[in-house]
Amino acid sequence: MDRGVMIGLEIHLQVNTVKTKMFCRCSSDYRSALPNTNICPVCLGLPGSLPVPNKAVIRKAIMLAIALGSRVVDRIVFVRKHYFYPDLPKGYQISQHRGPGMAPIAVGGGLEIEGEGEPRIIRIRRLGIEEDPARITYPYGDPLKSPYSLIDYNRSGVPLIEVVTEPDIRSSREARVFLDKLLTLADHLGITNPDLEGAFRVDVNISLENQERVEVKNIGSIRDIEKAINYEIARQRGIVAGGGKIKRETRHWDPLRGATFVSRHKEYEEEYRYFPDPDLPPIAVSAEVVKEIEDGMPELPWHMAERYVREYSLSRYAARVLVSRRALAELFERTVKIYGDPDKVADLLINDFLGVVNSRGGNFQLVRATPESIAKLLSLMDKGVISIKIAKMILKRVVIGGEDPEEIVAREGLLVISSDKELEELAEKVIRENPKAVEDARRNPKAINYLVGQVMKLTRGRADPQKISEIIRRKIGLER
Amino acid sequence: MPVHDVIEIIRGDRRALEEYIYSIYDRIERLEKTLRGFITIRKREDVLEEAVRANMEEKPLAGIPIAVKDNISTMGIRTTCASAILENYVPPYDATVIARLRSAGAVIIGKTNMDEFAMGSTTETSHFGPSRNPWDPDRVPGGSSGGSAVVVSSYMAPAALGSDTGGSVRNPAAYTATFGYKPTYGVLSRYGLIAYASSLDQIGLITRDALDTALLLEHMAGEDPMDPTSVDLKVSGLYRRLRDIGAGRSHLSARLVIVREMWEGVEENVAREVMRAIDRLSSSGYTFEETSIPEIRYALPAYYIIAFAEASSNLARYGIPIYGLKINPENMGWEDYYSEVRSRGFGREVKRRIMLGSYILSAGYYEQYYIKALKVRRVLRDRLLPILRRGYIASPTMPIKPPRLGEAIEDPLRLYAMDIETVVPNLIGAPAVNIPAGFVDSLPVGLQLIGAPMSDQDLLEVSRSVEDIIGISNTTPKTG
Amino acid sequence: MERLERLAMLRLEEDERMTIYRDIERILAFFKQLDELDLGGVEPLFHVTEKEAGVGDDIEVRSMDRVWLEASAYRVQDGFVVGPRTIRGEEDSRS
Repeated sequence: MDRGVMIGLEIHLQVNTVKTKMFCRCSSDYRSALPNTNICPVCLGLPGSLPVPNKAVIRKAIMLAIALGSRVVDRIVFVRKHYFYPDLPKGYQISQHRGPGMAPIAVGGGLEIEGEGEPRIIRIRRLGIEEDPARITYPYGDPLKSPYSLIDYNRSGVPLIEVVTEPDIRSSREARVFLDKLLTLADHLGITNPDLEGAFRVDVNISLENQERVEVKNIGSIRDIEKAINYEIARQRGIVAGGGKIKRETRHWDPLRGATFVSRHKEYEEEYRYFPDPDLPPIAVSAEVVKEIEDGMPELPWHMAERYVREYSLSRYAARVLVSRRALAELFERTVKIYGDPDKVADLLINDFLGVVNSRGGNFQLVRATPESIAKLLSLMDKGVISIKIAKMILKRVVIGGEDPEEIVAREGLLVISSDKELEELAEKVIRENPKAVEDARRNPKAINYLVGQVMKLTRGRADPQKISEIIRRKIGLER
Repeated sequence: MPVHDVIEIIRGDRRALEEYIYSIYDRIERLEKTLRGFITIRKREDVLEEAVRANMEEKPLAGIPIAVKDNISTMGIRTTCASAILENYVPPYDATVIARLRSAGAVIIGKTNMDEFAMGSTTETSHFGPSRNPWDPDRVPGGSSGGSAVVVSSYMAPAALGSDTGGSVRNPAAYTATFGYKPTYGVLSRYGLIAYASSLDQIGLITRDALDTALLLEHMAGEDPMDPTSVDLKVSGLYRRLRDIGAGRSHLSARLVIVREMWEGVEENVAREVMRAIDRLSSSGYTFEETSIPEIRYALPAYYIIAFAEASSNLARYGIPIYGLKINPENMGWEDYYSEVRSRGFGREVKRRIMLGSYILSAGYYEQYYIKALKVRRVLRDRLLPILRRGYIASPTMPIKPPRLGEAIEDPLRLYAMDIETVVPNLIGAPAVNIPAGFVDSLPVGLQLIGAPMSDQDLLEVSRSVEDIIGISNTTPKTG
Repeated sequence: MERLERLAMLRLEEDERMTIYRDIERILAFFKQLDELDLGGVEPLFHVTEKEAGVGDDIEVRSMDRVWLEASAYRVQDGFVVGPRTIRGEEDSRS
């Protein structure tokens, strides 16, 4: 940890859990649509169009504010933030800001993290609602090589909630912990599904003690954020160590080159000309509405974790892993309802199930397992129908393929070999074919594992190794 | 003949409708070359076909042709705002008021000339050249809805839509001896009105008399979910009530308030002629009150600060490559592209206002100008509302006679000074009308009445009574 | 003045610039009148309507076809609108 490092984050969460855009009723699902097919006069910014705010997004923003302990404003004001760029159809973004006649939807609050020492609170400066700009791509991939740009307005107007922290973060690790917790919260509250592409983007502000701050804009993954922070701190420390001063500037992170670079565009201070949007008179937020939203809020992830420890007697670690994603927590609880034994369920989910999901990039969208199929898998193991090894083998097909474990086992004959007679025959075969190993095993009991392994190979893992070991021992005359 | 009379004749009578439409096009053929009221005229056969269909389907407006100011979006019909930057823009949607009129059976005959983006008071900043006053073609018809006023007063159409931000409907109505109406802010949906200054703009009507306005208003008013600033004004029965007043079946009188400061700065002849008209009202039971509101002197600078600021914001969208001036974006840097399109597409007055507006909103000046102007706005509203609850403020609509072409436009401050009477209702969101009051040197002069917000019905009833007493409504100049 | 042109994304001709500049100065001087008023304690009036902004429910409405874009834009390629070159490395602005 660097003493004196101050890091603040500006996180843009995409509200990808609602059906429509922020100021019009076009579908906000831009990922699966052909370019420019979810458009209307409003999100194209056509002359004469007017914005109509999405009530569901406002409610979600208020919910997030409540969860973070922020103070919700009593009149919601939208402002216009002006800048020119081909991805911004109106020449301004409808957003929120602090100033005469303007206020963000909530201020204050915080999120506690276990950082570089005692748990402490990272303070929230403000929350704001805004709209996403359109998407620009390039005909030849690289913007520097493309003579023109290609614009898709499907994303124009998709709702965003901005969360801005005070510069209380002290390291890249703390940034990661904070973001994980915030995304888990947004996931549980039904605001942002973190698995969808573009679900969040972060601007990072970093300053060293007594130095100007540098802003690194537009980073889209937690891993990149950690790398960018580490790089920046090192870069800045290098300058200061050499006797230089840090200039206040804006940079961007290049993931391919693993470094930050000055943004060429920003030679002058951006002049956004904020003012309250005259098309959107302020919307009152009464105490009753806030209470209603608070009463209807889903369980907060940290409360859920505490409940898991209490109700299911799980360890704190297990509870925390299970609540890290709402989909995972739901899967856990629903499976326990069917199957019972929370420990076994937790164990399978945390160790094996997550392993499968993470091998596919950690994307829960790919999960096809149901509480029923997980419960079945565990039952099959309990009843001794399949071995643990087999269970692990077919797990991927259950989790990603959505297959029914009972069907797999039936179709492919993966049942455990429980008949002693069969095992005895196989054991005798192995003993016959491996006289040297038998000699070794008589002298050194541990060497029996080789013989056990040979039998396991023959059974394709369908036998219980304990049982095989006992049979072999008996046959070669070893006493326990 | 006003719409309310024409409808009686053409309703259910296809032959009469055809004759009527033909006669309209005859007049256009004769007069348009000189007067230049239109930017786009639809083909006669298209208009006829639509009109006949509406008539045969027994729609309430029976196929009446209406002209529409070219800043109101009409699906499939070119909408230019009299600007080069929208020269080829064909909207993919109808403004709400247009959709409502269409479904009530009105037919759009064409789009009328205006000051570019409604920025002007004489229709001389139009990219397509000025319109001429039918009462004296060497003079301006007023602005910015000059084309609509020309068309109605010379009977190239029986009624027209305009827009009013600081007087743009009442000004040309006064200069052409037609009835002009600006609603309470929010009464007519702005969805589809190409924005100039969002907190001041309203769609308005220019008609032969107040009764026609009431007739059309019944089909246009009503809250609109596409316009977040729209309000619900109940207008059913309005037409019938005005008809009774006009027919002498019901008698109305009211209190008129003379605000001293609103009569300063008015040319003597004009003031005298308007006062003469008002005096005639006293014998019909109208009462008068005189008062002084010194703050009125600050209405004009406050208005322009707000208008320029909002205009610079509303026009920030032009330059986007999806409509408008066709310039090849390939191989152009985006800043060059935007500057090129905007510099070539906007006229001088528009450029001036955009630059001033951007300046006013920029950091360091926002409080000095914009916030200050909004404070003046509140002061004016606080002073005027109590008065408006007691009576209608009466003043000349315009401080001078219609100037000759080229006279007013030389000096921007002189041009702006034409608005001193008309900006007041826009600033406070109040409804206002122009009623033809008399002539000075054979040029029309108008009486402005301002009512309390949401008192549109009463204001229109009083207008009917007043125009009846003064008796010069529904006149057509001899060029016709 | 150049800053104003950049803020407004305009490029003026030399002769235009002189006239507009002069006009702007005079208009700003005209605005200065407001300083004569004592506005202490007055709240700015941002909206003349008492009503709140109308909001919408989260229900999808399909309203426009891409066909219009293809007819209206200068060029559309594979469904994308062709725009000018952008120099930024990042794909989107999100300033």
